[in-house]
Amino acid sequence: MTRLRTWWPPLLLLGAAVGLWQLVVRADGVPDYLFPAPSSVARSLSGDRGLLGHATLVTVREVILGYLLAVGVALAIAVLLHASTALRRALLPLLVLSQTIPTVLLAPILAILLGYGLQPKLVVVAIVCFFPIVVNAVDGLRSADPETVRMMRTLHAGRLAIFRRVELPGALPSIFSGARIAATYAAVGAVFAEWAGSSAGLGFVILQAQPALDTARIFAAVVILSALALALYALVTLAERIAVPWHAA
Amino acid sequence: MPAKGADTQTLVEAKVQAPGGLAAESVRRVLGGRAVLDRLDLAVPAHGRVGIVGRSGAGKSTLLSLVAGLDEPDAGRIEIDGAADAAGRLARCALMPQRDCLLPWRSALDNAALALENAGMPRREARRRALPLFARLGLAGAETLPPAKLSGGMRQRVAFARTLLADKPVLLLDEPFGALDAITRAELQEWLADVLVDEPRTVLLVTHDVEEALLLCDRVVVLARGRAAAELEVDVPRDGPRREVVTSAPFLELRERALAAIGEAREPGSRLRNGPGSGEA
Repeated sequence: MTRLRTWWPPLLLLGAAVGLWQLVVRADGVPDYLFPAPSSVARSLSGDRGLLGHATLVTVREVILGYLLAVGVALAIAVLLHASTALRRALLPLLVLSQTIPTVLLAPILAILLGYGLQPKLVVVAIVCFFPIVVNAVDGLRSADPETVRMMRTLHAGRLAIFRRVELPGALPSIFSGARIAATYAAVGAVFAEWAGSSAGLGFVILQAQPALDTARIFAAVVILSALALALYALVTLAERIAVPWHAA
Repeated sequence: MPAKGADTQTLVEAKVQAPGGLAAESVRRVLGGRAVLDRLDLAVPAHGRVGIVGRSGAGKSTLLSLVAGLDEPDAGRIEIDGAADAAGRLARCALMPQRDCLLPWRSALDNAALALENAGMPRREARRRALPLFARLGLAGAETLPPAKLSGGMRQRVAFARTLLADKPVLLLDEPFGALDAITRAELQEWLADVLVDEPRTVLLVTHDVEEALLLCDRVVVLARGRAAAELEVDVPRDGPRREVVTSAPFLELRERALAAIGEAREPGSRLRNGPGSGEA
């Protein structure tokens, strides 16, 4: 299968790196609280599975809901920016500017504003994720073939018909590119939000494990976070295959 | 003269039963500091078919944009059935662009039915309405195929079906067969000639292929230096098989005259010289 051919090189490299890591840590006798061996991380993953499982459920909820919020808001903004040149000129630079504000600093402010519940997490995840989707969607909408648009105008098409039948479907590959990039940010966004104030989740687990020097558990949480990001990425890629069949062909 | 407004004065007498009479008077269009069209006059009766030939950059596509109402002339006026404003012209013209511009996310039939859906018809109904024409244009069996699965010739047929289904009196065809191989092109030229017998429309056919213009149109206009440098009535018999038609003496003579008129447009010193075709009424 060709799928297997593309998967084995990174897996092989990853396996080799993990093996080397295990060998070096064990050979040098590095203590687990400084730098845990992969075997210790694996032990934490299975030993703490009750605690980690619960934390994962909390974070997954934040990631998915926050990500959906980001996609919704980003598409709405992109359509607005596409519809109005004046708005695009005024708002797009401000959106770029907004990206220069570190989310790490925004998260505590949002925690103060919105409390320790789910809300501020969703907002932080959405803030981290929305930008690549907006930029790619706006580019995609603008890249419609001008000749096709001219032709459509002679075929009874108004602004809305052109948007629905030409611009939006044509922008889907770009929109999904943005959505895939954003998918890799979502988990990190959730951790930032949990650090700023929370009582559960993988970020909270990391925060608690730190003073206890339970480094293996921190690594275990990080492994789960990576897996989360990968799973979300895979889901978005799958959705793209279904929604944009003509692009793959 | 400004071309805006609902002017009652008409330049052509539109035939009562057939809409699509078209007239352009002293049209000027400047693009990028160059007068692409200048003092261009053109009159096409309803259901008339005029071929526009000329070198690249002679303003052929600009002329189509102006006629379609996608663009406004800087001077002069263009009207179709008495409508001289851009919106009025846009309502009366359907454009078939150089590339087929088929939407890859729509099946062949849904591409053809595009104009019906744009006009507000539900998709199911639009498909039902497009289906008979689709079959008549030799596209039966291709309904559900995506454009990527169609041959070049089939794609052009779908694009033409799409143009026809807009139900406009004037068809603007911009080098519709330019991207096809010679054999397919000849096939589609014959096909188009047949279709236009069943579905008569006013046609402006832009092409770089003089033979194509002479086969499909009743008049050929050579565009050069921004205006109609020569006009040739196509009065040769075109009934027989294509190979005989294009090699018949009157056809060859007409072709020579058209080519000479185009060739003349190139020489800078030939501005005032009267070529073999340029005096034609």
